[in-house]
Amino acid sequence: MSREEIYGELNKVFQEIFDDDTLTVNDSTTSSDIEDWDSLEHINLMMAIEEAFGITFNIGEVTTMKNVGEMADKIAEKIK
Amino acid sequence: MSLISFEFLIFICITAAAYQVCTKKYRWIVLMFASVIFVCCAQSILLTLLMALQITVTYAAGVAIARSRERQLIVSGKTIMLLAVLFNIGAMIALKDINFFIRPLILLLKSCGIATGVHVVHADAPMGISYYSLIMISYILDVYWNVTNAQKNAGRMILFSAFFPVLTSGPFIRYRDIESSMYAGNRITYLNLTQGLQRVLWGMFKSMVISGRIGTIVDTVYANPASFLGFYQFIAYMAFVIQLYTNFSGCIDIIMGICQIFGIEMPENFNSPFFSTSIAEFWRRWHVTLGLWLKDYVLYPLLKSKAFRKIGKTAKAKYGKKWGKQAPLFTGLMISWFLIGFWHGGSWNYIWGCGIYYGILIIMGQLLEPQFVKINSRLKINRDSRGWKTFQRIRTFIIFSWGLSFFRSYDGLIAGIRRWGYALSTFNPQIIFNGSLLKLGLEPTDVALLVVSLVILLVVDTLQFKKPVIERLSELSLPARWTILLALLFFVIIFGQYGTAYNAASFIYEKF
Repeated sequence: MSREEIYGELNKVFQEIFDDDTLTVNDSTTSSDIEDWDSLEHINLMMAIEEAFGITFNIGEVTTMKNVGEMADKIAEKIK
Repeated sequence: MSLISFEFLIFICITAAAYQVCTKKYRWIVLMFASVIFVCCAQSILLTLLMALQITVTYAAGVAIARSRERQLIVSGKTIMLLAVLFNIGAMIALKDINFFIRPLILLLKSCGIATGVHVVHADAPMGISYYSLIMISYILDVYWNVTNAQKNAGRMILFSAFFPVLTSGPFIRYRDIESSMYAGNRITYLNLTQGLQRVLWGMFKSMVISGRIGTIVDTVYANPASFLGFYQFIAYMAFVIQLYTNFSGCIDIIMGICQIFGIEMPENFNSPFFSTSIAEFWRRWHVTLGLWLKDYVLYPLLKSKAFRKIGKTAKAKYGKKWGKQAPLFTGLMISWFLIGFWHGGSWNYIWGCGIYYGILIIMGQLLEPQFVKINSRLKINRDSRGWKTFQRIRTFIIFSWGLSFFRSYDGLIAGIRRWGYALSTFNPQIIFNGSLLKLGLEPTDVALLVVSLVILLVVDTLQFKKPVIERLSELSLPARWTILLALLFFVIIFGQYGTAYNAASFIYEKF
């Protein structure tokens, strides 16, 4: 899966979770860029990503990703 | 050895001198020995050995989990992690909260007419067991999740687990956040020393000048609730919030100041909580590190578990997408809030007054938010206006104080409910204005001092909300800065409550 394809899928998950069809993310997107992305919505987001890509994050990964770029790196690593 | 005592001052001076004369490589060893001496002086050998056992198990578990990852062990990392976490939880509950389980057991057996030799246990627990146990659990889980390396040096592990400033009152440190500065052996610099001492002084002001005095009002009303009806109770509830805040955050300021002197970066535990506009926000600003610990090591693992995913799927199928998200979340929140209350003490006044009560409010806040927005819109209230924000802050403070009224009912939840009966038995707001509050155990001079001190606290906290006060101080000219600091120092020396007649040195959160 290319990085573009990962982002295509990620955008769909973000749009679904945050109920915003126009939402797009990139490497530098963080929780402070999306109003509803708080600590409670974060875990829903991570579980939706797990489901979309068929992967599993451990809690350490869930709590230490600093931006969407790191998230995309982790996804790429896991779906290899 | 209390953080506010002459012995502790001498102890810190000797530790700092030894730390500074050592070379960079050995400075952490000075802190480790200081921590060991601090622990050994504070408790019996048996309790120290119990603590040492927990540290040894945690250390061995960390190393074993790392080895299991390299396939050098037959036992899986998950098994080791589970055993080590259960051991730490078991030790904490067995040594601190076992009576929570024994009391209902005795009642049950009695009601069945069975005479047994089961009694309530009066045992001492190692100092800081509630803090270091959770700190060690976070370390084990972080090693297991591979977000931090296992510490292979036993001495360094001792320092991390029993670091003396944070041992009795927190904040909750995490190995991954603290290792870079804890073992770095940073020199004591002029900047860190002066800023650290400033923070210690501010903490002493809060805990020694304000907390004890306002606590007198609380103690007077709580000791004899039948004599203080109506608004007296509500005033005492609010006074206790200020007492707890000045006591606990004052203690944390002293701890943070000491750590800064040694160049060790600690996570903040308070972030201007009284500026919160909701209970959920309040708890993101109050005892911050406990909330983060519960989120990362309890709430998230629960929500990611198979059982909670099943709850979500079932709720989604039956009630739609919204409840598919909310059902597991609310269940997880209630479990987390129960545990926050239980951590404070194995009795229902804590479980309700510092746990479940806030969980219910936060969930209700989320559920009713759309209705609140509609009502505000109908009433044409500008939710961004300063007036509305001020109203929200006062409302949050009052609602928070209602929960803590049970927390302060050290005589139990039932006694706390009875106090609410006294509070609601009469309507007497006139006591706020007719001087009745001056007869709640304080001398007139103490009342005047309390008012002045609370104004200082309010001004400083307001300034802090916008920009750290230490930064503001450093921008002042040298004479202005020293005038303020010396004035505060003399204020604390002259008006602080300390010595044998007072017990200001005992911090409320030390007993958890």
